[in-house]
Amino acid sequence: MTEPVYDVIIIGAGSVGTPAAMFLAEAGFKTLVIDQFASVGQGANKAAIGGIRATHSDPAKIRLCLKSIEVFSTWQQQYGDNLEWIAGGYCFVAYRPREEKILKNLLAVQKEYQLNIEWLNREALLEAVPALNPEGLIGGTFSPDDGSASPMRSALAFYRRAREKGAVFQFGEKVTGILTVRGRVQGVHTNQGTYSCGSVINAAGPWAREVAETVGLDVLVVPDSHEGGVSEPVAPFLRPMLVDIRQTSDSANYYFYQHATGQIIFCITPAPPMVGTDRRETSAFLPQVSRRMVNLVPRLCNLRVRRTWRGLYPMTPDGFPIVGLAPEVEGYVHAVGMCGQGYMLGPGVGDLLVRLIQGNLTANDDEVLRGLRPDRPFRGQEKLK
Amino acid sequence: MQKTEIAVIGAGPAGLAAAIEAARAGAQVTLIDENERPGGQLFKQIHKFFGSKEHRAGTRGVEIGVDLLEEAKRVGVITRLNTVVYGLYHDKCLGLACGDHSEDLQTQAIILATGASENVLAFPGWTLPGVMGAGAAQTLINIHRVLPGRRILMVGAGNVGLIVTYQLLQAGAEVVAIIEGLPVIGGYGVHASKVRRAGVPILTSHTIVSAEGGESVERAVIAQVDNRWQVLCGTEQTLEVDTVCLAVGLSPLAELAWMAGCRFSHVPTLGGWVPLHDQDMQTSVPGIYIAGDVAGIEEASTAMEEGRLAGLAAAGTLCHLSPEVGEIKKSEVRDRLAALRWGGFGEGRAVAKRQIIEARCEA
Ligand SMILES: Cc1cc2nc3c(=O)[nH]c(=O)nc-3n(C[C@H](O)[C@H](O)[C@H](O)COP(=O)(O)OP(=O)(O)OC[C@H]3O[C@@H](n4cnc5c(N)ncnc54)[C@H](O)[C@@H]3O)c2cc1C
Ligand SMILES: Cc1cc2nc3c(=O)[nH]c(=O)nc-3n(C[C@H](O)[C@H](O)[C@H](O)COP(=O)(O)OP(=O)(O)OC[C@H]3O[C@@H](n4cnc5c(N)ncnc54)[C@H](O)[C@@H]3O)c2cc1C
Repeated sequence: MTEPVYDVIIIGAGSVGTPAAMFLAEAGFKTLVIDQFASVGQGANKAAIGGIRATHSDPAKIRLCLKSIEVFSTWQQQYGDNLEWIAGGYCFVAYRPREEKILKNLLAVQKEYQLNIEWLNREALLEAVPALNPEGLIGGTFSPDDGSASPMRSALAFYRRAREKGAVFQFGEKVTGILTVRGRVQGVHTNQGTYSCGSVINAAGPWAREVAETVGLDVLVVPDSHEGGVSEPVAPFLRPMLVDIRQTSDSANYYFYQHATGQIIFCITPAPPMVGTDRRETSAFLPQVSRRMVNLVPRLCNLRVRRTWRGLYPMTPDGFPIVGLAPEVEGYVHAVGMCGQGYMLGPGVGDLLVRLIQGNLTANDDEVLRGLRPDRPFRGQEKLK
Repeated sequence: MQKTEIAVIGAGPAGLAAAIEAARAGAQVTLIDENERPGGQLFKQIHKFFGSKEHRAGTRGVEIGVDLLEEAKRVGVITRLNTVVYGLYHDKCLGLACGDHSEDLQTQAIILATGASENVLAFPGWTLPGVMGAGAAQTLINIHRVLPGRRILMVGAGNVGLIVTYQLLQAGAEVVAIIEGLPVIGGYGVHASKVRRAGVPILTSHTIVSAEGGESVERAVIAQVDNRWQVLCGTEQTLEVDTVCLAVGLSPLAELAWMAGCRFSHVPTLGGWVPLHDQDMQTSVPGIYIAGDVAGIEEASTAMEEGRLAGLAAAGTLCHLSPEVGEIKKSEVRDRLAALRWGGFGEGRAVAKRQIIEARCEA
């Protein structure tokens, strides 16, 4: 049999596929990335608001995001492109004993992993974030090493670096099937041709289930949609990402921050979730989210909104990603189900995929992958979605 | 949630005419405008309009505006002022911002009559206070009765540049010059002669190089250009002015149509990107109509006729008119529109409009 043309084919040039291509090409793999859209990051990636944190509640996401933060925070020094990274920190606020208890319980776990995160009481929190509404404020967590950056700039920078290292990108091409012989991946069919390869990585984001079905695998990724928005730019007055996890009758958590370029960027989790791929904005979003934001940071009432949009979260039943080798098909790798955190997970997942394909996993990697196994029972529930 | 049958966005000549026509046919109509007074551009037009008698040439824009407002009230149009439409959603729900709160308005049909926005030019100093659109200067003098400055440079010799120059003179300012990049004056001869008689030089093949000053405009540098719009070295002159007015064209204000997913075409004769529409002024999204400058930059007279057409069509789809009566009324309006687009200045727009309608039908 002839040698395959590519070592690895990645399906999807999004938040995960693009940095994965970069790390694989750096490690010397002949890598091809195929995406249905016209350029990099045009799927879920461009809908993300840019939040990046390592302060999760499970070892897998914590480890992956620590690696991501290393990449985002050192990128400009190393390669020159400005990703608009700021280490503004993350702040989860508590205005009721209920949220105080949830956050304090998580804090204990987060401390175990040596994360830089503290509980700030009301006074200390108001000092760190003076714009917060003091009325009823109990306190909150503050993690100064977390931050934010621009998803579009990041995707472009990873793309450029991947190409420099020899990765090939095919845009405007849709993967229609995965070629296997005797249970082993041989290549990929698209609407325009066939490419041979040794391994294939499904990084198709919200469309991952369709792609997996072409090799007869059922991967439990269901897209649901979230809306986001951006204001006009104003002088810097808000450092961290603010997250309010209170539930109301029509929404769950919402989060927002002031970007490096001055705009407030925000989004909300609707309740019940809006399942499906419809991306048309709703009239409910802006009144709903702005009311809650103004309540949290009263001076936002003076700010004008420029634009809103609706994007997709690739959701899994338990809120955790699905990453690992498929036991059923040799050479097939899952890197899907990033839920609301694919942008921040991207570089960390990409870096891990190199060692997974090399068969060179560390003990830490094993621990990470244990939590994200494709064949897990999907029974738990992520606490900080 | 509040409801209305037909929402008309923008209470300029197009929106007022659309609202009146739809309400006359029996529809429940809500007319929305961001300003505290309806009328759009009309109340700034203190000059006598050009065009045919039938279209009230010789009448001042202000008077046409007053008549339309009275008629709108008489036929029961609900008018909501100081209200910005910030969003148009796929279920035909509108997001309204009024003062310090927001509301939803559920509609069955929408007529977009949002008008146009002024184009700007970017040159060194263009963000200095004192550089403004000619339309903004016109609003200052004719609505707010405030002079934008004492010594003014007008950039652009189309009708807007010429008319606003004359009105600035009437308001007591000095217009130092009108400059025009093209080798010819774009506006009507009557308007050009009027400003020339008042002593304002019109310099063709000239552009603005920069605006200078500390806190605000103190000087402007202008220069001659060749037929490729390149500045000819050595022709620079400095004019002592405190205001630079830009009258360099208008663009359809079509964000809401973009948001609604309407299909567009780029038509330079009509001011740039224009939503496609059919003979009834319906866009490519069923139930969303457009009229006036948002459907291509023209004049108040064509804006009103397009508004009538859209109003009749929207009321017709909601069964307020029998198809036969609707068709008769609409074809009367279409005849008047054709008449307005006749002749030297109208022909280009007539051709462009036909293309828009053909493209919409193919879409
Ligand atoms: C409003 C909003 C705010 C968010 N905020 C954040 C945030 O602050 N931080 C954060 O980390 N995350 C955030 N997210 C989530 C984040 O956007 C996603 O988790 C992430 O983009 C998913 O990355 P992905 O690579 O899995 O998918 P994508 O980025 O969508 O990449 C998948 C790619 O696969 C391609 N593809 C799919 N099927 C095929 C096929 N058959 N053939 C060819 N190509 C195919 C697609 O075209 C797409 O480009 C937010 C999401 C939304 C909607
Ligand atoms: C200097 C000058 C001289 C002119 N002279 C003549 C002339 O002599 N004869 C002639 O026929 N025409 C003339 N015109 C052209 C004429 O004024 C315009 O063609 C006409 O006003 C267009 O009407 P319209 O209803 O489409 O838009 P407009 O009159 O611009 O009205 C649009 C209205 O919509 C409102 N609006 C826009 N967006 C929103 C939103 N999101 N929410 C709420 N409200 C919104 C605007 O504030 C405005 O009030 C002249 C124009 C200018 C600038």
